[in-house]
Amino acid sequence: MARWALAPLALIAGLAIAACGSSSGSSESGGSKEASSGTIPVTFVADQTGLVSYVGEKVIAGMKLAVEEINSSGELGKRKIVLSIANSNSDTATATTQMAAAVKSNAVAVFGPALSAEALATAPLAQRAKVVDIGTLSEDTGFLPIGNYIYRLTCSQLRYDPLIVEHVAKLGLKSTKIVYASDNPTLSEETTEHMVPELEKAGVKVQGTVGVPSTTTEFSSLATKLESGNPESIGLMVVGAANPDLITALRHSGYKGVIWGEQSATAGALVPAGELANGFFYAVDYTESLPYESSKKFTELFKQKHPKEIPYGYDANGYDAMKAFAKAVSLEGSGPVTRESVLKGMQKEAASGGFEGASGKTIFVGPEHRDIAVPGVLVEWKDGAEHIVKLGTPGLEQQQ
Amino acid sequence: MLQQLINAIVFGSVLTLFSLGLSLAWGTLDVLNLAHGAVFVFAGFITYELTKDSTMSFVPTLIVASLAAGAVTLALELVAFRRIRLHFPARRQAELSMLVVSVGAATVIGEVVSHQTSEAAFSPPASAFSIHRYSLGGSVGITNIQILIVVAAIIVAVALDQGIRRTRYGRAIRALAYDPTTTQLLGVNVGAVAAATMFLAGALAGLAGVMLAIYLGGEEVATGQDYLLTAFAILIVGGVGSIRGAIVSAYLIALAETAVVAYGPSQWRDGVAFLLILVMLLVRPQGLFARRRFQRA
Amino acid sequence: MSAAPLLEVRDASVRFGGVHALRGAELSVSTGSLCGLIGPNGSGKSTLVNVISRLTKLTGGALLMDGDEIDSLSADRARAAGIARTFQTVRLLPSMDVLANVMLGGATHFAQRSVAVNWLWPPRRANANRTARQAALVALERVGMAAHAHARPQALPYGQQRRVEIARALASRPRLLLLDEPTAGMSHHEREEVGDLLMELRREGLTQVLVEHDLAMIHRVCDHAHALNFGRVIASGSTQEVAADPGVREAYLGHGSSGERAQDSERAQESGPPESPAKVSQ
Ligand SMILES: Nc1ncnc2c1ncn2[C@@H]1O[C@H](COP(=O)(O)OP(=O)(O)OP(=O)(O)O)[C@@H](O)[C@H]1O
Ligand SMILES: [Mg+2]
Repeated sequence: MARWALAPLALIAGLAIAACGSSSGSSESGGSKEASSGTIPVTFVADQTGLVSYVGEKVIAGMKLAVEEINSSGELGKRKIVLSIANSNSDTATATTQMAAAVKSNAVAVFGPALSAEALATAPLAQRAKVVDIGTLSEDTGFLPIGNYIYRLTCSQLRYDPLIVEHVAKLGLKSTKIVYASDNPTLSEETTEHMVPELEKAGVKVQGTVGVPSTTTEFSSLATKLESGNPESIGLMVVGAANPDLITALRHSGYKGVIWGEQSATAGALVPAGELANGFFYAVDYTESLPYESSKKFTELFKQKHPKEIPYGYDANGYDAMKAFAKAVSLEGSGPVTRESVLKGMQKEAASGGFEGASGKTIFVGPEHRDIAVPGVLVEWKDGAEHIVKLGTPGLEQQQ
Repeated sequence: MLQQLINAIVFGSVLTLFSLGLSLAWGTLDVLNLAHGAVFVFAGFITYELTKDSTMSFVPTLIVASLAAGAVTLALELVAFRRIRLHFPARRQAELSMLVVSVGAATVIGEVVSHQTSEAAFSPPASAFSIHRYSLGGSVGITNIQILIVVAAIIVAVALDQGIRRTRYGRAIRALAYDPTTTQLLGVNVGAVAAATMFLAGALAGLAGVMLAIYLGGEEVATGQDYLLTAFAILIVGGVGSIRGAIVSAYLIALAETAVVAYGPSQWRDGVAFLLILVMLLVRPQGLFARRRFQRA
Repeated sequence: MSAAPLLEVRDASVRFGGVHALRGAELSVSTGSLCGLIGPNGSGKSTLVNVISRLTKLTGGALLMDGDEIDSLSADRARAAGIARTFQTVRLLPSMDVLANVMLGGATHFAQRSVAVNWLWPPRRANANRTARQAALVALERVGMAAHAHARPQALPYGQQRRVEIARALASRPRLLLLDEPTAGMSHHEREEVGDLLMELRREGLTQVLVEHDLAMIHRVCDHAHALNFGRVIASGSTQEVAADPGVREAYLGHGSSGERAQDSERAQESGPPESPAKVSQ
């Protein structure tokens, strides 16, 4: 083998191993827990380690917060939720194994992993075992149609992104250019199918869209390209470090217009850009200063538990998934909780107007009301924190 | 147009700084150090740690972080690569083991950094280095950090090229690359030269890491992987082990990628590097600046 | 053999897997002598040179220089201690010119502790570089190759490449010079010249070990000789005595039959550049 042939090989090996991330982590699957009438066993197949462990950890934290609150408040009477966490290692095969064990256990409901590949692979197991599977994945293509036991307790960003369009129009910005992560199907589709037509409809001229692979590490040429034609605003539909990097590159190359984005900019992603990110706005399902009672309650609990951290969407999603589950249980009376009763409870909850969670009043939407809609909120980043610009209403997109 | 040319030159300089160390280690010691990207990010992380409370100014930070990156690579050499070389006299076997070790090291360094930064992108505060933009007429301009990157790349490239050609250390390195056994018989302490080389390679990655941490808005562990990918293209296009080849192909790839972003479908920019690799392998597999090197049976 | 021995090899044995390349070889080289080493192909001559230059580890026995054990030295330290050598097949670096190759031979400073100081302090570094260059030019002058200082080694005829190798060894100002068939592939005239050079070096007091198949050459330049066969020294003494030894005659008469083994040895032991011409058999 020639020497150069080693390089691609090595790369593949390198990337594969790097992608696998850390150790395979221990799972704490609660397979054979005794389900006495006093306990409500549930299992969360979580991305505790691996590629999206940063999501998994936060969702787990939010979920645990809700379990503590529910168990100590007595809102389920004497019954206590017992949460087992099974580590999927952000890996579809592991997730499937863990889900198979979870549905065989006495868990009355399961919470699925965040990556869509994992969610799609694991949901059929829950559906077949007739156990409610509550997903916290961001997009639902193909997930909810898997069956009537499948719920998704994270609101699609499509439901609150209209807030962005509305704000761009309200600021009187006449033109925009959008850069999007070309290898991210969600963001690509969101950009071309939703943002562009809606901005145009709102009277904002879209001068062009620019796709970039998320492996990009050089942004100056992109910034020059985006600036040409002097658009009054530039939209970033990108993930990870690309948000602060693009803001930095645009500002350093002298761009003076407005820069806006979408929810990937949350959770401190803009911190590296420092002051340059001031004025950047985007829409999210949850932000620290949401004024709703149920949101304040979550924020307060979170701050007590993690005084040094700022709560963001993923924490809220975990919390809300558990809150929705608890409400479903309580709607089914004080008897023993079974898989069937959980389903009935979820259906009742969906029909009766949803629940109040960290994101505010959350309603169930979609064909069989197994998806949710939150009010959403438009925030502006300023000096290291999100500031509320405008509150949304649940189901906003249905009114458009 | 002019602005994009400036962008390309700056990007080429970044790539030069990043890939010279990799090229040096691969060309002379057969170490395909896949931890190079991680070491690069590690230096950015050190920069962030040293400056986040505005405790250290730019120049000392640059020195400390580069040395730290050099030290990490040196440690890898002493702990792993050297032992592997002694343990497997057969080149190919040693190469493969070193590859695997460097992947492991990359993972460990990456995990440490991402744990320390809670997996978020990080960047030194604006106070660490205040960026100014100088207008060159119209909308064309260049920032001070961009100038610094270009100047650093030129200095490093010339110094390394001349150092390898003209100094005793350079001769020792070239001899070592060709035939380690004979080189040792000629009185060269090959262990020391290898250690110095790996330290230098790491420090160069560090230098690039510090400047990039300031230049980019934010660095994350994946940034290093992405640069590594492009650096491989550079090494193959330039010819393995050729310092001049690496420099020329770094600017070439930067120019090509910038052109694609500026005038073509920008999502294909990664494709450019791989297209160049492919064309190179078909047309001139030894690279632009092939270094005759001796291949053992 | 009146002077104290500079180098002593005691009961040296080297095994390569099943091959016993040296089995109890004894050798003593007195200071200032020019010692010949003869023996049929595969008898262990190169192995002995490899052992002395610390390329090959002893499986048994001892190696002493000035009465001190040196068998644990690394090759570069041995060079720093004054042991320099040439190779049976030329090992010059094609990517450098002749001068740079010879300067590399004077690179023993990498074995010294002051490397860092030399390297970090530019005047010292420049000075060291100048000194190395000077030494290299002097060495090239000695072998009559100064005019070719900037030629590429592979552009030179084989005989001249060999001389560059000798210059490279001399550049480090060794105390002991090991020459592994330095005249192989040379014309008669060139051999004479190299012979003259070796004798001149000897007059200057340089101790040398010369591996050579050409007995006439041995007679001309050496004061004494050792004959090796199957990894053992079978005869030593004056060159006439060794040449007249019945065991040596026997070994050399059986020379033809060991042809196959000789080829093996070449393949196994020499890892020189592929462009080196095949060893010219005498
Ligand atoms: N690295 C090695 N591995 C295995 N066997 C070896 C090695 N080097 C030498 N040998 C064997 O050791 C024996 C002695 O070899 P050596 O090269 O010392 O002989 P030589 O006297 O120099 O012969 P020639 O006149 O052909 O140069 C041979 O049988 C050879 O095959
Ligand atoms: Mg020999």
